[in-house]
Formats: sequence, C-alpha cells, structure tokens
Amino acid sequence: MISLEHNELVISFPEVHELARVGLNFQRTLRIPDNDQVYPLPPGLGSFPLVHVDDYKDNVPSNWIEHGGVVLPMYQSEAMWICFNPRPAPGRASAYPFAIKISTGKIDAITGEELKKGLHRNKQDYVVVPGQPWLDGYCVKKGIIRQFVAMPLGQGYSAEEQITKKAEFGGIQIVVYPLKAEVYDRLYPEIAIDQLRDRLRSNPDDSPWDWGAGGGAMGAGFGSAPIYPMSAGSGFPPPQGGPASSAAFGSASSTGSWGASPAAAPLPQQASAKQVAKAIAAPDMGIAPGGRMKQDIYKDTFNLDDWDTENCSRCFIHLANSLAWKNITGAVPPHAPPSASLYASHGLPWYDYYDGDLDALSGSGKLANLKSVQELSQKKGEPIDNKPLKNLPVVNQPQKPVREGDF
Amino acid sequence: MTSVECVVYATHMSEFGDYIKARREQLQKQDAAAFSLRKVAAQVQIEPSYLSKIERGLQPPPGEATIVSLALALGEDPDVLLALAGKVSEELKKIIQQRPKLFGQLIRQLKDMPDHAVLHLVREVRDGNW
Repeated sequence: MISLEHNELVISFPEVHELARVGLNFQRTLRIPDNDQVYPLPPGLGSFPLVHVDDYKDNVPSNWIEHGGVVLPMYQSEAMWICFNPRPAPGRASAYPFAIKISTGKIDAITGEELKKGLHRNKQDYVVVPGQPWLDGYCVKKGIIRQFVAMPLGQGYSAEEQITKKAEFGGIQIVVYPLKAEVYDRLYPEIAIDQLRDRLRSNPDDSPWDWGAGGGAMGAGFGSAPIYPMSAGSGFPPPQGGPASSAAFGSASSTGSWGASPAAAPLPQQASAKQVAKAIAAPDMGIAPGGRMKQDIYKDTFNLDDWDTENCSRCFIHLANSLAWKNITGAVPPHAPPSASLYASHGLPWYDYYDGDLDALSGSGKLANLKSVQELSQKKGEPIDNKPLKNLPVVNQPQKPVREGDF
Repeated sequence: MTSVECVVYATHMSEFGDYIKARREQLQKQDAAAFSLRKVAAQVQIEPSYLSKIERGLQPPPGEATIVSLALALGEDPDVLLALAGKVSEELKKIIQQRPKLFGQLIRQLKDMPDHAVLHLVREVRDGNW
C-alpha cells in the first residue's frame, strides 16, 4: 500500500513483512547548466508538495483521474531529484530492501526502454534501496546522469516525446517491489537480546539506533540522514565575506526576487494572463533531460530471484504546471527556486557522494542520445538561462548522503 | 497544579530530555560538529544553555514550534516528540475540533486496535489505469 505522509510517499507491504516500509519524496533543487561540464550534486531545497489527485477531481484533466495517484507542482524548466528514504529496522543489519523502478512518461529512467512489467537484470531497470540514496536524472553513462527537468508536455522536450513521438502520459511513475521476506530474514536475522547485550558490552559506542538504518548488501548508513527543508521565506545566508542584501535574499514568495532563474518560467505574479490561461488549459508537464551531473546508479547485488515480484505497489505522480497550481488546489505554489548561478555566486555548497564498494551501471545509449532542454529550447528560439559555473565548493561526504545546505 | 499533574509533568520532562539527549549524542557520534549542543541549539534557534537544561530534565519540554524544529534537526517524527512531551500538535487539535464527535468516537474505537488493523484505515494513494 502507498500512503501520503508529510509530502512523502510511504510504501509499505505489511502483508509481506512488518519492516517492509520505505519512503520516497521529490526534492526541489537548482537546475544545473547544460554545457560540456559534469556538475556535482546540487542541494535539496525542500520537498515538493504532494496531494491526492482524487481531491481535485473537478480541476484536473480526466486522464489524471483515470491514472490515479498524486500531483505535485513544477515550474517550467524547474529541476528535481528523487530522495529514497529507507526506514530504520532496529536490531537488523539492514533496512528492508526494495527494487524501485522510476519512469517518466513511462520511459524507464535507467534503461530508456518503455516501462515493462517485472524486474530485468540484463539491462537493470531499477534501483535498489537502501544503496541508492537518490536519483537526480536519466542514467546516460557510467557515473553520469542528465538532470530531471520539467517542461510542458506536448512541446517535444520530454524523454517520452523524443522516444515514442507521442505526448501521452507525462509525469513520473514509480513501481516498487520488496525483497522476499524469507530472504530478508535469512540475510539480516533479528539480533537476539543476548547478542544485543554482548554487542553493546563489547562496544558501548555501538547503538541499536544505527542498526538497520540502511546498509546491508548495498552499503551501510543510508536513510536516516536528517533533512533540513528550507522554509518558505527563509532566504540564503549572506554572500561569503559580504552582508546580506534584503532585496536579493528576502522573502522570495512575496517579491519573486529569485525568479530570475528559469528564464522561460515566469512566477505567478510575473506571468501574463495568457501564460496562466495556457497553463490552466494544459497543466500537464513531462520530464526532459537537462545538464550533466556526476552520479552513480548502482548495480543490484541481490539475486534477481530474491525479489518478491508477486507483490508490487505503483504510483502515478502527475506534474502540474505551477502556474495552474492555484487553479487546481486553491493553494499558492512554492516560489520558484533560485538560479544555479545565483546560488553559486554566494559560495554555497555543492555535494559529492561516492560508494567505492558498489559497481555502477554503464548507462543507456538511448537516453544519452536524447536532446537536452537547452539544445531544443535554443532550436526553438526560446533559450533558457544556461550560464556555465566554475570553481564550485564541493562538500565530499562519503557514506553520508546529506545534501541539504545549512540554511 | 495537582500532585498527580506534577508527577506527569516531571515524567514528561525527564523522558523527553533523556530521549532527545540520547538521540543528539547518537547523531553526534556520526558527525561531531553538526550535532553538538551548540549547533543543534542554533539550528532550533534556542540558547544552548536552555537546550542543555531541557536535555537534563531541568526545564519542561519547550513549545510546539521548538519541538517540531528539534524533531527536524534530529531526524525524528514531530508527532512522536510532541507525544513524549505530553502534547498534541495544534494541527491535530484543529482536525479534531472541526468534527469533535466523529473523531472522538473514532479515536476511542481505535485505541485498542492492533497496528495492522489501524493501518487498514490509512488512506491509500489510489492507483488507476496507466
């Protein structure tokens, strides 16, 4: 079953195992430039709001109701990353493992193939959690992804449109399979009270709080990292070595001062009536490939047969143009994210993560051949802000996937 | 305050303080700088001495907003920390106050049900055809 808790999809399989539970949320972030550079990980700027599509039946396209699922708002050319949040399993050596398929417009983000039933290993079409802490985009090459960037469906930008030549689904689809219960219990048996006592006696610094927060076959220590979402209206800290400018760092939602970021995406208060009307008439957004980022998508270390393919949960995540969000939900959408260049100009941190114990997948040629938002927007004569960034301060945190800045 | 209330209050002070101290120190072992008393207090926007007193049970648990900030800083569930502090969030209070009879009955009926039965009542995200 999938429930919605504090803007996070919580997927659980109580019928499989009481510990079979994982969270998945969608993080707002900076859109990295698309040039010859490969960028480090941008920060998370807090979760996108998520609502049940059924709560807004009268205000969304009828095919959204048919698909079911949830809706979140994205500005045109806004980027996102998907955060996997394994739940701690006290007394076990690993959180419960899941195989998670992520597709955009029903195109698998790892293989570039159309979404298929089941799990496949010849071209691995899923990520394993815990192990994979996040996914920022399409797996185009070993160690490199192209960032997930939202563009209006029907304009030819999305991976779906470029591959299928149709603008049929849009949005993001997730399909989740748990590990078989007997495999989990065999690989990560419950630690008996006596053993627990001995373990604590022999190493008082060891704590049951750590156990099962992640790790296991796919590496240790994932999943319990605290998230510090940037609250609405909290600005950036001042530029290094200089005082804060209230105009540049004040409440973005009221002034729109960070709205310089996506050149093609006006803020609600800046958008013309025509632009808003267009977004309301066709709110569907698709995901398209953006700039290149350093990121490994890890190979599965379990046997294919270890996965419980009899049990699966799936969810359709519709992406609504933020300009139509108020019309759909009655709520004001989040402010547009800052531009990557504005963020970088203040010396704020970028991130790096590397797990040397795991092998990375080689990437999909099909996805590598897609045209990026930058390439297509330039062809269409609607170029987006794409200033290259240099000398970015990168925080390297091996085995500790925290990507939020200290806002 | 009655003597019974005093005991309940003191229990919350001690339980809440012990819990957040243990959790913070646990996180501090993983990242000494980020989870020092001073750093966590700064993140939650309270004085380090105040946080120290809360942790030692010398001060009652703080207000709801501070508890929620503490929960975020320590990667804990805000509702769980609020419960440890003997509080219920304003959000939940409002939900109950909007339909007091219905939610009063519902909560009373659910109180002895096992977790798995309660889980069946959780609203699921509906899957459709795609």
